Order: sequence, then structure tokens, then C-alpha cells
Amino acid sequence: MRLHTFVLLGALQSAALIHAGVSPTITEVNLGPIPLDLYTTGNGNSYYPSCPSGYGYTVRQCIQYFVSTAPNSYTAQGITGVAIYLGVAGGFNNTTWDSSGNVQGTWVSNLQTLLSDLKSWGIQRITIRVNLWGWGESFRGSPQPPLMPIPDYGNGTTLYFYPWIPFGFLSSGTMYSCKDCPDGMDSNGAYANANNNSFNFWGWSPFFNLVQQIVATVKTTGISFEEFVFLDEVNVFDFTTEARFFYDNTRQVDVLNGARYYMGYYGFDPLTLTFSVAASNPSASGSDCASAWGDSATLYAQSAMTGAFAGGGGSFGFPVNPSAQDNLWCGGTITSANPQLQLSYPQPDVTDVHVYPCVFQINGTPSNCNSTADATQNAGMEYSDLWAFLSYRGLTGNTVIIGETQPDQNCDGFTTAMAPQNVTGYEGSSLYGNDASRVVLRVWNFPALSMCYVAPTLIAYPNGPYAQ
Amino acid sequence: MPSFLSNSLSALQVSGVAYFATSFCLAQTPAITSGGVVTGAAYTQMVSPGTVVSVFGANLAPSAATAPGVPLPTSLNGVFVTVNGMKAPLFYVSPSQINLQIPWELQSSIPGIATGTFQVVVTTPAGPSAPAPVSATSESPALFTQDASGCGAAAALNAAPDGTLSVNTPSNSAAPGDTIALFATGLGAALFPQVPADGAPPSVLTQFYYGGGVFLDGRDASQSFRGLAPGLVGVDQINAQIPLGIREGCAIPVAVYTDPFVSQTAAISIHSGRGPCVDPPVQSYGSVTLSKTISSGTSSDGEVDLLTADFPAAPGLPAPEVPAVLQPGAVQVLSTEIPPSRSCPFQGYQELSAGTIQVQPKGGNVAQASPQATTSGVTYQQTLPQSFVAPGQYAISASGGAVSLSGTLTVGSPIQIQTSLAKGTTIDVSKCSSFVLNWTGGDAGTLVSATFISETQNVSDAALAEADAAAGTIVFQPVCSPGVPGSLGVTGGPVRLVVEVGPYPSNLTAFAAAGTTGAVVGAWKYRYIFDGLALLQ
Repeated sequence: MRLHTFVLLGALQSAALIHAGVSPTITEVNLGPIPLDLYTTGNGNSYYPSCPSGYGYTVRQCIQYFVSTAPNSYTAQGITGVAIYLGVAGGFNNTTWDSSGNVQGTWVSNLQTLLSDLKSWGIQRITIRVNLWGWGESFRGSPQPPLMPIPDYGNGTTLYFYPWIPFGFLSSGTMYSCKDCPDGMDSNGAYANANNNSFNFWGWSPFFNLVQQIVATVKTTGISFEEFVFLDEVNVFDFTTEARFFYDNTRQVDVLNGARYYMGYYGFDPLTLTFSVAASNPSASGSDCASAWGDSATLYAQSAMTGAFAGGGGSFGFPVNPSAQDNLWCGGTITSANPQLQLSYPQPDVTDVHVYPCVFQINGTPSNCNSTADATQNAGMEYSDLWAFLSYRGLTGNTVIIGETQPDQNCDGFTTAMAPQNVTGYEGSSLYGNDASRVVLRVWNFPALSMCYVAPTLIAYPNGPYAQ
Repeated sequence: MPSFLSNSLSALQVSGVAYFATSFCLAQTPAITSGGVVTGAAYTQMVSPGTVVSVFGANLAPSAATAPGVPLPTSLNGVFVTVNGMKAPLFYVSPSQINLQIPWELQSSIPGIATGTFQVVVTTPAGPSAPAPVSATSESPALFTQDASGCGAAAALNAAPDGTLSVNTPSNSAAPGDTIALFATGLGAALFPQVPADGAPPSVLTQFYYGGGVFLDGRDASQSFRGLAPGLVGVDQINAQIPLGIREGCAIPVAVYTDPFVSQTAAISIHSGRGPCVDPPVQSYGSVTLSKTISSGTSSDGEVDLLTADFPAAPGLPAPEVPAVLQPGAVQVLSTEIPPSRSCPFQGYQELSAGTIQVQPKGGNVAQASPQATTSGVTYQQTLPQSFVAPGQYAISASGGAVSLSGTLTVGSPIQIQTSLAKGTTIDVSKCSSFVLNWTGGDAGTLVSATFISETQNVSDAALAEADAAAGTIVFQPVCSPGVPGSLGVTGGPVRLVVEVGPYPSNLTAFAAAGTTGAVVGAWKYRYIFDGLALLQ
């Protein structure tokens, strides 16, 4: 009898843990970049500043500490799903490829170890995102990619190229402050005409090989593959060249179906291989307008991607003659002059939007958030906008993943007040009202590098802002 | 091949043969006329890979010869033509004219929409010509026309609901809702599933897969096909639906575009019920504007006072739209098409004359503006004496033409711009900071508009913001999206700022007028141009 009571209590506790969060919505954590090269060998770049230094932990031990052994570990908070970001070509100590584009066996082995570890530590669902630039390469060391003496599309700065990407990147100059932005910012013709990296592109085989290795590794470990984020915060509104990761028009390569193939081959839903996008915040609380696609302008990147997948007749890129109002691109029209893909694609089964609700303010902080304004109204509006998008596009059966959202920490321009305001806004939204059980709120944590994010963050069960 | 396309090429050949009779001399080396490399459809001076091009000159071939078939040869009658060193497929050669296709392979030498240069060399048994440069871009849309002149009736087929095809003419109109097929060249090289071989027609149905469309009377028409014309070399085809509710008439403007390039404007005939067209009654309007432009940072800084006027008339011409005024804080992006190097006169479209226009400030001397002839009538652009335009009343009258008018125009106050906009100033919105334009002066109830204009490598676009003159401030607030620098929606780099003050568009002065069906209005404007700025975003 006593044993039975114990088992019963355990079962109840498990149920509570599984549903920890804004019930019935699931709360997860986004761990950000993981330095896989160092996973089992050390912590050479002093990653994980929140990791107890006195223990001399390795990367592996630090992650285990946050996930399962710390007093407020993620699993202790009931979190059973995490996202990890993987750099490439040396980025964030991830050496996926050798100098010729061959996938490195050591890296794959480390990935397998990590996934097995996470599963054994209580993580049931994994989301993997590949970082191809930005974090993906910023730690790759020398040699840095060479600046090429050719103008970017429609302008005059020089470009640099990576061997795994079929377009160039802007170097900051007199026209752009935007280093790491893809060639052809706000140019609809860039998808078709921007340089296709004739300088050092390996071709698509190394990329497909990497996708296959990642998917196969997930399969091997048996962890549930919640989402494969093929390209993070894709933005084919401002950077139409990024659509070459859907279909490379310069080489006639169907990239998206090529990658989805491996998901199906290994028994996963091909439509969970998707792309995340970022939502925009208006500068006035509650201000909203329709974009050229008819969705809320806060979701312009999602609209553009959805338009691109629709293929012929569905268009992406910068609308014709929009107006800027309260930090949103309102109205304008999508015309046949906007670029199109020559193929159409089934829309993903997962809608992954990064939402950091706040009132936009020009204050120089990384988030551009008004730190004193209440974010509740914008949160409610943005989540309701997302439900309206799903309804309008016939995607209400999708899993909705808020792939990044605020932790209750004073980091990156966000404040501790914003997380509960985020939750309050969410609970008042039509997304919560209509679709709460299909929603995942994945809180950003980034324990690997930031001195700001204390890990493990108290976000969910029993007293975090995302607990209920 | 539609018969008018065959006729089009024949007509070009005939003119070439005629030239041959007077100018051919075997001993002379070929010479390409300056500006003589043009599109074969519209004779416009911008070409692109894959397009049909005509080369005009002297001694271009020993005699006329036509390609026997496809694939087109690269040598004909002892003549070959190179474009950037690559031999071009030849349709036709004659002493005065050669028709060729620009090799598709040259698309890799064109940096997107930026303008490059192709060097064209004609070689005959007598030797090579001097290289002839021609501007080249990735796209150079040009419509074929029925009489091969590049103007007038477009080479267009009506597709009847029963599937039959017929040439669109004034006696055989298309109806709203019908589909028409237009034929052009230069719509671009982004083709799916494949780029055909040089000199060969497409082997499979081949479409363009990025931007482009059809303007019908200024409206964007939906398209059901846009790609290479089956069976033809270098010829593009667009199937478009005529919008319901469109203006009907015998010469409705039609143009094709590939962002940002637009073709010359040709015409099609539209009539409900099809058959012979019926032009609606002519509608006409007018405007007279006094302006003062003050420029800085330009190559010709200074002040220019100007009178401009026009009196357009055309069958069914709609009244000029009254643009809405932007809300404070809003920035409107205005994209601009790049027009062709040639414009066509248009049947039934006129610029009426008002004779001599007289303008007299209260207590001042009279200034006169005389009509200046254009291909479609007259226009007015008269420089006025220095400091002629100033606050006060002006008596304006005109007589002696089809239009007469009289009235009084009250010119408002200028503004004094306080923001430093010296040449070389960088306006940085990349960190999401606003650009604020401040001024003093001006009259409440008049409108100040400020426009950043970016013209970089063929791209011309603008960002507009407006405010009442009494506000004293316009704020350009960029949009700062996640992961994207602050942006005004225009291309960064060299820009100029144009600030204008004048009456609200809904508050123009109506003149008493005769000879027009619609209103003749008066306006005034102070324009301040600040060139040599840089926009960082």
C-alpha cells in the first residue's frame, strides 16, 4: 500500500512536470549554441559562466548540471524539451566540415553523445538548429573569408563568401552597418541576380550530407525529434537571397525537398523540418496594421516565407510601396514583380516564430525594447496576430512553437518584468484561447556564453513566470 | 510564329535592303552607327542576354541574307558579329542592318541590374568594325509592335473563350476579362526549367520565374504565362488577363516590366463584346504651377523660378488623382520604374495648348510662358525672373489656344530649413535612430513633404514623409526589424533630400477655364534640394 501510494504520487508528479508551464501549453528552454567540439574534452573557451567553476566541469558536465543535477535544473522545473544550436565550420566550436566539406566523424560522434546524454538526463524532445552564419562562423578563426572586390547587389560595398552558402554577405561600409547581412538587402532582384558564390561554394552535397548525419544521429539516439530548424530566423522579406535555401535558382537545386527527404527517410515527419522567423514589435503599445500579404505586419517574415512556399503566384520579398508606421511595414502590395520560386512546397507542420513582446523603442539596447513600458498589450496582440495568421492560412492544425521568448532576466535589453507580461498577454490572446494545447513556449536561456543569463534559469515549475 | 512577328522581322529586312542600295561599298570595312545597337522590338538603347537586337550601320554585309532556319548560324554571308568577344546567332544580315540574338552565356557578365557595357564588333570579308558599345543589363524589356516601328499597336493576340487566336486590332478588340498574348524581348534570363541554346528556340515550355508583369492602362494585369515564346528565338511571351472594369478604347496603353525596368508603351484595343473598338469621349484637364527651386550640394547650385503647365486630353482620360496625405510619423516608400530610352506618341492622346500664359504678381511685371511643341502637342516650362515667385497674389490668364483660363493664385510662404544638410552629411538610421528635419516659417494649412531619393545602379526609389508647415518638424522613423538594420525602405548610399512646401493636394486653386472637360487648377511650390548626402542603413 505504501509502495502504491509512492508510485501514485510519482505518477502525479510526472504529469505535473510534463505539463509544467502555462497549462496546457508546453514550456521548453532554448539552450542556444552548444560547443560540440569541446563536449567531452574540456571547456577551453570558458563557456558556461554559470557553471560552478569549482567543479572544473567540462562542457558535458555543465550541461548535465543545468539539465538534471542543479537544484533548479530544467528537468526539475518539468522541462522535457530543449533546443540546441549547432554552428558549422568551426563556428562556436563546431567543426562540422573539414576544409573540403566532408562531415567530420568526431563532430557527429559528439552530437550523438550529447543527444544520448540529454535523453538519459530526462529530455524527451529535441529541436536542432544549424547556424550557417553569425554564430555559425564567428568563432571559426583564421582564415577569415576573403572580401571579394565585387559590389553587392544593387549597391557598392564588397562581399565575403563562405564555402557552404550560395550567396555573399555584406561587409559594413558607407551604405550598410550590417555585417553578416546577406547580399541584396531589401532588393527583390537579389534572389535571382545576386552573386551565387562562384568563388568558393562547395556545392550542396556537403550540406545535404550534414543534414543526413544530423537526422540519422537523432534517429540513432531515439530522442523525439520535435523540430529541425533548417535556417534560423529566415527573412525572405528583406533578404530574398535566403530563398536559395528553399530553391537554389542559380544552380537549379531543390534544397528544401532535398533536406526534407532525409527526415522522411529516417522516419520523421518531413514537414517538421522548417524555418523559424522573428516577429516585430510596434513602437506604440497595441499599434498594428496589415502587411501586404493581409496578415499582421508584426509577422511579415512569416508571411513572406509562407508566400514563397506557395510557389508560382505566391511571392516574397519587399512589397511595392509600403509605408512605415510605428516600426512596422504596413500595406503596400505584392505584385508579380516580387520574386517567386519556380516550385511550390507544402507548408511546414510547425510554425516557429520568435516572439519577444515589448514596446519598441530606439534606445540603443540590443532588444530595442522600452524597458519601462508594459509589454502585456503587445504580447496579447502579437499572439492573437499569430492565431489570425494560422486561421487565414488554413494552418490551425500546426504545432506552434514560440522558438525564442523572454526569460525573466535582465539580459539583452529585456527585463524581468517582461516575462510575466509576456505570459499574461499570451493567456489573453486568441492563440491561447483557441490553440493552447498545440503551443510550445520555448524560453531563451543561452547558458554557454552569456554572463548575463544565469543558468539554469527559473522559468517554469514551480515558481517561474511560465509556471501555472 | 505569329504572322506579325514574321512581318516584323521582314519589315526590318526591307529597310535594310533599301539602305544597301545606296551605301554599300565592298572595299569598305563595316561601321556601326553611333547608338546603332538597339533592341529589335523597340529600338531602345539597353540590351540584355538572350534578346533580339538590331545593329545599324554601313557596310555591315556584302549583301542581304536571312538565316535558313534554327538554330541560327553565327556566320551568315561571310559576316559574323561578336558581343564581348562571343559570336552571336544571326537572324539576318544586310549592308545597313543586322538582326541578332545576344548570347545567353553573357548573363554571367552582367552584375544584376547594374548597367554594364557590351562591345559589339561586326566582321565582314573586308575586316572588322570598330567596337560599338551598348549599355547592357540583366533585363531590357521591349514590346514588339505590329508595324515593327516600336510604337503603336502592340503585337498582341486575342485569345477568345473558344480558344481561337486572332491579332488584336482596332477592328478586332479584346474584351475585359479576355486573355491576350503579348510578345516582347528582354524580359530576362532567369528561366525554368532551362535556358535554351544560343540561336535555338526553347525545347520545352520555359518560363521566367521572377518579377515582371503587364501594365494595362496603368493597372497590373494578372498573368497566366510569362516565358519564352514557343518556337521562337529570343522572343518572350506574356499571357495576361484584361482586368474587368478597365477603360475601353482603341488605344489603351500597355507595357511590360521586369522590376525595375519597364518597356515602351504600346497600345491594344479593348471593347466589351469585342469587335470594332469605340473610343469614349475625350476628357481633358489642366494645371499651372509656379515654383521656386533652391539647390545645394548639386553641380549647379542656385535658385530657379519656373512656370510649368500642361493640359492633357485623351479618350476617357481619368481625372488626376488627389493623393492622400500621410499621417505624422509615417514614411511611404515610392518605387520608381526605369523608363525605356524611347517614348512613343500615342493615338488620341494630346497635350492641348492654352496659347501664351501670362502671370503677373500684384504690383509687378508680367511674365509670359509660350507653348513648346512635343510629339503629342505642347507643354509649358518657362524660367521666370529671379525672385519672381514669392508670397503674394498672381493673376494668371491664358488665351489663344484650345484652352483659355483666368484666375488668381495666392502663393504662400517659404520655409527655412534648420537641419544641417551640407554636402557629405551622412544620415545614419542603421541603429534605428530617427532622422529629424526641422524648419521655421511656412503657413499653417500648407503641406511640407520631404523625400529621400536614392539613385544607385539603376535603382531609383524614394521615402516620403509629410507634415503641416505649422508642425516645424518631420520625423523619418526607420523600421528596425529583428536582425535587420534600421531601414527607410530605400537603397542606402548616396541620396538626395527633396523638401517641398505647397498647398494640400485637396486645396488647389480652381481657375475659370474653357476648352477642357475637367478642372484647370493652380498650384505653387517651394522646393529645396539637398544633394550629396549619404544614407547609412
